[in-house]
Amino acid sequence: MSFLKLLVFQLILFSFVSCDSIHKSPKIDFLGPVLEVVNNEGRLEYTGRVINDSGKKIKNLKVRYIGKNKDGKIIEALTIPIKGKEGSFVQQGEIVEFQFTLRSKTKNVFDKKLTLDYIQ
Amino acid sequence: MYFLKRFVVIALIQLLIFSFIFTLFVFSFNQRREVSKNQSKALASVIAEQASNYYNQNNENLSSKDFFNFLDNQIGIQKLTNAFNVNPPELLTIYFRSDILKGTVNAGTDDNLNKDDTSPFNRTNRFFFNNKYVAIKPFFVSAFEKPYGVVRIETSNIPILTEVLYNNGIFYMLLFLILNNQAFLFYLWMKKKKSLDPDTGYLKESSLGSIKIMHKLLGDVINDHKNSDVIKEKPSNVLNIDDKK
Repeated sequence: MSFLKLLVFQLILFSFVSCDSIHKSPKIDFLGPVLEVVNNEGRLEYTGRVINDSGKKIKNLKVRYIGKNKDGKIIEALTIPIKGKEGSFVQQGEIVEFQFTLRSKTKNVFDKKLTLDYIQ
Repeated sequence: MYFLKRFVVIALIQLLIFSFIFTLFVFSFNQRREVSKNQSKALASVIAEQASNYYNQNNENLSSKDFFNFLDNQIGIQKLTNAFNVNPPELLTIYFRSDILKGTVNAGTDDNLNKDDTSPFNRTNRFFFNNKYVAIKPFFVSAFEKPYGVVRIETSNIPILTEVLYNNGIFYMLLFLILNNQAFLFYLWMKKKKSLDPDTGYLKESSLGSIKIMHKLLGDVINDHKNSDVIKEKPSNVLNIDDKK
């Protein structure tokens, strides 16, 4: 019984220690915030930069955008390929700019999420 | 019934301990959230100032890429969010007054382009609390008396939640153990001793049985020694004071 208690205590302790994984490690990330403006056509336009801090050359880097309405339903999902100096490859430490515009009406977008996807 | 009563008492004590720890957690979380709010407001003010400068210089012409490069030259894009430790804002939003008034975009502002706290655009309720903070700051250009547009910055409170748990998790766990320990000590302190009531009896049946057996054994031993013929021999090196008298 006491062994079981000790085991449970250890598991709880390790679950807190494992929170160390939430600390950021070098990776591919947005360099600073992404700028959002309304363009002349009344559509949302995004401008930003991505940095490859992973220490490796990466392939097929993509920015994914998900826009949701007030009910939480996805009303716009975009995937924008990011081209480096070597086409679909982004070198280690390379900074790449991107810009894209939404197709849907801007006033319906309540929640926005930008993520990065790539192949190492 | 006895076990149910005990279980309810234990559950209530655990609930009390958890409430106390949760209060401490909420206090730490709110403190950290206030810091993040102030950082968001400060960043919104900086961006609004830069937007005023940019649109004054460029005669109110819009080019998001140019403004992005302008911010990078003036401050440095990466440095903008350095102050935010765990929850840097993903988006810096610039909305113009004309677009807001036309209804092209909803900035979560009132008619004077000040933040409207009741707007659903400024709230996202998840995990039983508003986990989004929105800082809104109007910016001006010299040709207009009214704000030319607003800077809107959204930050998520969820990373603050995980950070507070990460930093204080061990403390909360130890506090939980210590409080449980204290509760147990308090129970021992308050536990009433059984009264010595000769009418009702204060010994268990099993204890009484053992005492009866011991009583019989001791009686037999004493009886055996009453009839003993063993002669007491005085040791030669021991002086008895009574003999001297």
